[in-house]
Amino acid sequence: MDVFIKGLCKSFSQNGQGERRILDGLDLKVSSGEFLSVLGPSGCGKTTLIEIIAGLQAPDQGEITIGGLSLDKSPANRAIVFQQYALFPWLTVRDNIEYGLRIRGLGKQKRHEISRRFIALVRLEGFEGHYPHELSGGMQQRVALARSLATKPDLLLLDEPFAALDFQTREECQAELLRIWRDTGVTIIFVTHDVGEAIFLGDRLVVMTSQPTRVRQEFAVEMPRPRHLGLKLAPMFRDLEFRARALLAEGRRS
Amino acid sequence: MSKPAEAARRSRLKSWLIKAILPVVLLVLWHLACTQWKIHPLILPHPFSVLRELWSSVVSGELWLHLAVSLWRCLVGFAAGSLAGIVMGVLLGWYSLLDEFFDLVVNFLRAIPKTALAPLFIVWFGFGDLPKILLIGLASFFYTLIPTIEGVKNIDNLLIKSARSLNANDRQLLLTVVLPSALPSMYAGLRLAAATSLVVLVFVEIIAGDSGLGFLLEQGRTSLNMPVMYMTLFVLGVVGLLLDWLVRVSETKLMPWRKGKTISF
Repeated sequence: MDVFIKGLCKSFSQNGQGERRILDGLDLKVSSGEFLSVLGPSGCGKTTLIEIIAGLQAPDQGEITIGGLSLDKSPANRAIVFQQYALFPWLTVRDNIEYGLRIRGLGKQKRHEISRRFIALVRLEGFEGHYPHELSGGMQQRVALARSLATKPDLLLLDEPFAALDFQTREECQAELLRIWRDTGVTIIFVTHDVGEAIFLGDRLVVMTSQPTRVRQEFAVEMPRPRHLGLKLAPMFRDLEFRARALLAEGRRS
Repeated sequence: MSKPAEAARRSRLKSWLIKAILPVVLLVLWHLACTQWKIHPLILPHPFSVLRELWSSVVSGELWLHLAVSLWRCLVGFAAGSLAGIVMGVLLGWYSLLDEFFDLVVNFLRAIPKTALAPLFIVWFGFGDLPKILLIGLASFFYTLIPTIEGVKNIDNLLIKSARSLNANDRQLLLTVVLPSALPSMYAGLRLAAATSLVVLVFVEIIAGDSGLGFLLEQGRTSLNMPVMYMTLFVLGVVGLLLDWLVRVSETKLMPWRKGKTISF
């Protein structure tokens, strides 16, 4: 389902010192099945944007439609993955993945059937009975991903999901995410401050300015899929990375 | 038996031996104090006379009677008080308006040592079970209330967002996120409440008892029967250990994800 965002505004009051504008008339469009990377400097309101789309925060102004219907009327299912995994520590891997299904009232057998499929998708067979604290960061984030995907979202929102991982695990997870995206066909909005990550993953790259956040520039990432990590060394990739970095630096200065 | 199992058995045996050294030494010292250093039996009776007292009151059934009465008061007061404390704690933690409404009164009542209320409760409710159960209940209530409120308030906001984004409504949020999140804090309160229950119980039984372990202690004092007093102290120690063990075992059963990581104050 296509996502249209128009004129999105959001401010927060700062203890008695007036308002701080986080989002200022933000426009964004995501096509069905697309992988959109949103790149912006740290603390530029990317998380606010994601949480508004997820319905966890209300915007002050602006309009969001999914599949032609406004956010509150749309039956579209949105799922979010946070940077800090946010798994339920008292639930096992399987129960975490089944959480959204249980909330929707699915029976045990049906839940197991679905969770088995997603455990296999994120390659965590054999860890079903483990608790989150027994897993590495990369594995925890894969559980979080499976938990979000198990509810069959139309739109998957990822908020710097790999930022807390070490370099090598991060790259593995990026490749893994691309495979999962290809297998599920879900529409993805992926927020990050990592330039290479944004380019490597996305069909399209949106660079944001720092606060207040607007869209600074858009790039189409015209690189063939399936993509492999070696792509990060290609001249085309480096060129795009160079331009995106320059824009980011500019955004920070202004 | 396989090698690792054998090794594990040995290290367990060794650890028990090490643990047993100090109690044995203390018993020997106790024996020496009575026989060699001639400490008066009114101050310190010989371990054997304490053991004899224990044996005879076990056989006559007297000890069981007092123990049963004490345990009954303790358990009823503890269970009712902690249940009320946890329910109220969840409510106050969840609805901050309610918390503010009760804040002053709760904190004022909490600040009064529960034992200080004993004289008043005796005037109100007499010398029977009721004032004892009520005081134990009150102490347990406050000891579980405060940690539960904190536990509910300090829930990781991200977990709430997670559950919300997976479509959980308020009721589901409470049952599947808030309660399990606050469980460790509740248990910290429960352990505190269990230990305090025993303190309050013995205190009230001493000043206004017609039965129970505290009454037995006081009886030992008035009749200068030191073996009874020492025996009762020993039994109280065992009861305290058992209570704590009970809370800890149920904790690992109820929270397998924590693997015995307990918060204690």
